[in-house]
Amino acid sequence: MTAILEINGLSKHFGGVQAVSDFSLSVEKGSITGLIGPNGAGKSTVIELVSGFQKPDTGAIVFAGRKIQGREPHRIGQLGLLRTFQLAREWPKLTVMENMLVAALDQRRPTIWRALATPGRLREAQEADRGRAQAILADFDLLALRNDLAGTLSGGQKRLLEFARLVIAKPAMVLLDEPLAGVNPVLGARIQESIEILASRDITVLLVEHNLRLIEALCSSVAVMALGTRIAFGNMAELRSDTKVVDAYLGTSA
Amino acid sequence: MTDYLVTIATFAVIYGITAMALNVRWGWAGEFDFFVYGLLAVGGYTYAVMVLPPAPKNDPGLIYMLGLKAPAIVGALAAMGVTGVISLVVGAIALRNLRQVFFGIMTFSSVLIMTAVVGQEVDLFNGYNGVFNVPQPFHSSLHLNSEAYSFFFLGICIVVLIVVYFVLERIFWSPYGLVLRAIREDEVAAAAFGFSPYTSRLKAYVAGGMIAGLSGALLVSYLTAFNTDAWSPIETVLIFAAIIIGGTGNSRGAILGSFIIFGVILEGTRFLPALPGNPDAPSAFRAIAIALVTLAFLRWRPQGILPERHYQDRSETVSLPRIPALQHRGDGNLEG
Repeated sequence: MTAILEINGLSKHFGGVQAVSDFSLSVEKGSITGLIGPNGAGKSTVIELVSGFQKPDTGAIVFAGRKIQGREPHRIGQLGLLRTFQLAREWPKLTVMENMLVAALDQRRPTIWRALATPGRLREAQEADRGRAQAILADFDLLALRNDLAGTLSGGQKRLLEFARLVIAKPAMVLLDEPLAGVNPVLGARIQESIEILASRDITVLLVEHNLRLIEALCSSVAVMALGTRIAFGNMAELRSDTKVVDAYLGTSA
Repeated sequence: MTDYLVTIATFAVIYGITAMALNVRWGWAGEFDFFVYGLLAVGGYTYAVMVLPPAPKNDPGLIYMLGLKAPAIVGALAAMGVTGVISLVVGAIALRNLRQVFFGIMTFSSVLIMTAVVGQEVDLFNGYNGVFNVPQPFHSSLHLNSEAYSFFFLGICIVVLIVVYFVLERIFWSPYGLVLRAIREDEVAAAAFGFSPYTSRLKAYVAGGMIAGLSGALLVSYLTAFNTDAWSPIETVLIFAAIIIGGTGNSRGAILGSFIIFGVILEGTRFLPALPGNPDAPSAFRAIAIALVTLAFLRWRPQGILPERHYQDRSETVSLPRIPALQHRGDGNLEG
């Protein structure tokens, strides 16, 4: 088993708040790894640091053999490490199909020069992408809505579109930041299926989530964070009997 | 009457090209840009000093750089080159962190500074006297009478308009155009998918600037003069109005809007009766008319007459087999 993502000694402070301190984690290739912890534990900051939207103070992040700490977000995206956000971030005034076609693009391909010099080749590539997009949208029950503007979808459909975009982008790994936030239980089951679709396509998943049933259903290994650092790592059965974890969630008894 | 209509059509076509340029920045990339009118001036001045003969040595009333007597096409290409470089500099600074109204303030101030510098630097740009007697393209070689030449010039403008339109259509429907609109909609999500918002926006800013420079070259070669006084960022508002009315994000809309603003509203209000003792009334009515029409569109039809177009997937879709992970539904209720 090899690690696709290795985080070592990661620290980040905002003003006087130490959001993450000396956090380390290794995510195995092909796994669904959970990251849990009480509110304010620093889980979301870890996602922000790994995806490049925040710069770490210290620490190393190695993704697929490359150091990525401090790189710009789009550079990290180009390496095949994508992420979602707590609120769905569709491109509202593009259609569902256009959302898919953007996500499907090789990020180095879209240039003005190519648009003018080789329009035919681009059109062929787009036709191929469209076929793939149709198949994926069908899996997420969005095919009939493909010509609608993404901004007109319901909240749940926007979530599913985010997963559809991830699938067509074919990343090596995704960081999912609370995919169940604000989602009803029925849709929750669809989100669980969506994460299983990602895993079935050999996409490694790091899942930040408060819903422990989802974590237990999907994750072979789970890291627990509290006060910016990792306090435990293992499967859910092991973590349940870990007093440090119980204390972190319920408050330390005197 | 024909003369009059040809004049109006020429202005509307030239401003149609300017509107397409601003549409790249505002409609496609979402930049609230006021610099575009400054680029019209830069393009116009560059064109003028490229095609004019050298400035007379002993005439303090007429001073300008270069004076290369270059052919009109070289002058137009130089106008695009210079406006491209200036757009690159302004864009590289302004697009780093500024968005929306802050970007607008930055670009608005940039034009004001530029106008002031050009107006004061008599030794370099001839100040508020500007340059004049700019030769018109092919005028001396064609030997047309003035009426025939005005048709010929309108023809040149229409050809340029059509070429610019098709180049922009190709960019709009390309992957680059699609990514640019995604960045306009949500640049954070676009960055997460591996697209650089800064680079994509900067490219659009430069492309829009070069087209604005080209329209400036056409405008100055039509007017045969360049004068700093006539170039103020307020004029940009008219171009914004044309885009909002015609259809934001749609090149056809930008052209249509220019004909409505510069052909119908600006000219139509000229026939209003003059108020005795109030010589400013007609221009005030003109401004009010444009403002009212623009506001009405923003309120009732913000997408404009011809809205932004989208990739439509009309293909018949066959029912595709669902992939295995979806067939076994999860444990159902996930409520924690």
